[in-house]
Amino acid sequence: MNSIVSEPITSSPPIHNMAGADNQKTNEAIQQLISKSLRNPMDYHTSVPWELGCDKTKPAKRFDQVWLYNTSVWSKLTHEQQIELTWLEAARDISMFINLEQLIPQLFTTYLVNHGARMSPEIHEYMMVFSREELLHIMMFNRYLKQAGLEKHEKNDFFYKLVEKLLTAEPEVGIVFTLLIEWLAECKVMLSTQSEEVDPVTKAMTRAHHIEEVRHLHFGKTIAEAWFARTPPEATAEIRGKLRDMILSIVHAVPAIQQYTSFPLPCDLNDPALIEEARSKPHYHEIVQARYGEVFAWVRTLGVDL
Amino acid sequence: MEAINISNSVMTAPSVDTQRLFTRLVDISHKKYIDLESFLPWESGVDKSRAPKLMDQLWIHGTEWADQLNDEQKLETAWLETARDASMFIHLEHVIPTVYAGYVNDYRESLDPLVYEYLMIFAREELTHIMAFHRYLKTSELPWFPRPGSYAALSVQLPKMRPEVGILFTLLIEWTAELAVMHGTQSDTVDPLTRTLFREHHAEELRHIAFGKKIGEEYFERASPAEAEQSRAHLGNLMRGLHRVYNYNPDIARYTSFRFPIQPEDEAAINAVQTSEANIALNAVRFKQINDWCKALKII
Repeated sequence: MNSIVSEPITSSPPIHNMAGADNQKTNEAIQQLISKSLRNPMDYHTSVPWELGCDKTKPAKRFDQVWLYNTSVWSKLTHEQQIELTWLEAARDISMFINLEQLIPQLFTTYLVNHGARMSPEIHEYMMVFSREELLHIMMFNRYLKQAGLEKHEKNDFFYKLVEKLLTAEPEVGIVFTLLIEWLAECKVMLSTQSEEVDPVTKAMTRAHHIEEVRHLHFGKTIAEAWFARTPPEATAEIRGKLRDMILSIVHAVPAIQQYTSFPLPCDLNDPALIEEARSKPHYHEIVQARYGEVFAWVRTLGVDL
Repeated sequence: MEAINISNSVMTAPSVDTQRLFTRLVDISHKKYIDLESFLPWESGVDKSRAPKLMDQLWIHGTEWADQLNDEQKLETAWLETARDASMFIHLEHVIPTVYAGYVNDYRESLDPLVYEYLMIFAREELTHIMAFHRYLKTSELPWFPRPGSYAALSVQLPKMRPEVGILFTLLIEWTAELAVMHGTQSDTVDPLTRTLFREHHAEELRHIAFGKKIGEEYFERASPAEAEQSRAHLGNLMRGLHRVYNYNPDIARYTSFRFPIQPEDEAAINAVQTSEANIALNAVRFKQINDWCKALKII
């Protein structure tokens, strides 16, 4: 079935001038995303094997993906402490998803109300599907934190300030910013959790989430590519600069987990010398490239200098 | 936006009874919800030889203008009235996720966990409903009526209000719409797809209504007399306007395949229909439940 969204009847035909909206192939591709989403939506109770319970004797992520790994501090920690750090970093990553995904429905539905006429029926509908999926992800992540006995981190002011600005921006701009935050987060959690040694609930939840996020990324990339292709470079220069700053800040963020450890960490995570030590190791650069190489390559094609 | 102080309110500290209700609403919603692909036999389509609503609930029923239409024209009018109803659900339900997701973001952890969760469930279900109504309009080849100007204002004004008052506004609009469509469509004579659509939608809306009513009742118990009086005045104005809107929408004349006997500019005729004896009698029956509730809370 083609898009289920009907068009309001007005005196003049609607002008679908949002990036990608006038391209038949794009709309067909988005229609496929809609069909897949509606055929196989995530279910709060059954998409994650909650009945297993989180096994906190296992790590929540691969050790080599922990920020302190390969620093002089790591070997000073007991195995149990190393495992605890994986859970605290997971709590930080999940909190970041909640932070962001809580903003997307407000942002996207505001675009639907204010810019709906610029969207093709397929874009219009997929933004509803997208928002709907994010709302379930938030509830799923909250359930995970509760089940694992992990604390949700404070709201991330950066996201909130960003969204305040994006609410009044063109939808394409909001889509590209949220795309990049989600994509970077997805790259990180997928690389670090899909291993045998990882707690099965964490691994399964991350995977189930990823299946829907892959569609979100596809949508965001499609709209972003169409928008950058039709907008003169000088008109996107400021945005490209902000995207660059945001990407680098997310990629190199030091996880704020110090306050949550049950034991005194033998270091200050914000110590410039420690940060320098972590970042100077070849391992750090290998991990950054392995996690985010795909994103870096894509943003470069849009003219974002990294 | 600067958040309003909602400490010690039903949003942050609901009573034990209210928590019990919200727990049930959250649990049921996660277990039983509309699946867009399977909740209706979409492939059957609608049967336009049948009425989508009871014909004695046509907006112009019981007026001189009804006599000017033949049976075929009345049937077409009934389908267009149903298109208007579905369109209004789409427009309102577009506003709700924006406003409720805004409350979640503005008040976040200060919200009671059940309120926080149910606001998200509510918003999510509304998004599903929008898609269902769009699909219905498309399947039925019916027009999507334009958004009323007042709805654009809602998405600006509601986020600035106390969340309880915003929830009450949406409750009164949705509840009125629900009563109107349920009263008009749940009969054997009605096209089956239309009838099932509204019934299934109603099953989720009943939960939304239960949530909104509880929020409203506890809000009025706790609000200062001055604040309660002001809120009652706003909500009372809304209620008075809503009935007129449901009684007749002039836009219908733009969509009929024949010249409709009441043209969009004919204010005298529009007013006559909106206040017709038939409509007043119909409203007394179909809106009794909401009117009684509003009277108990001194909203009207």
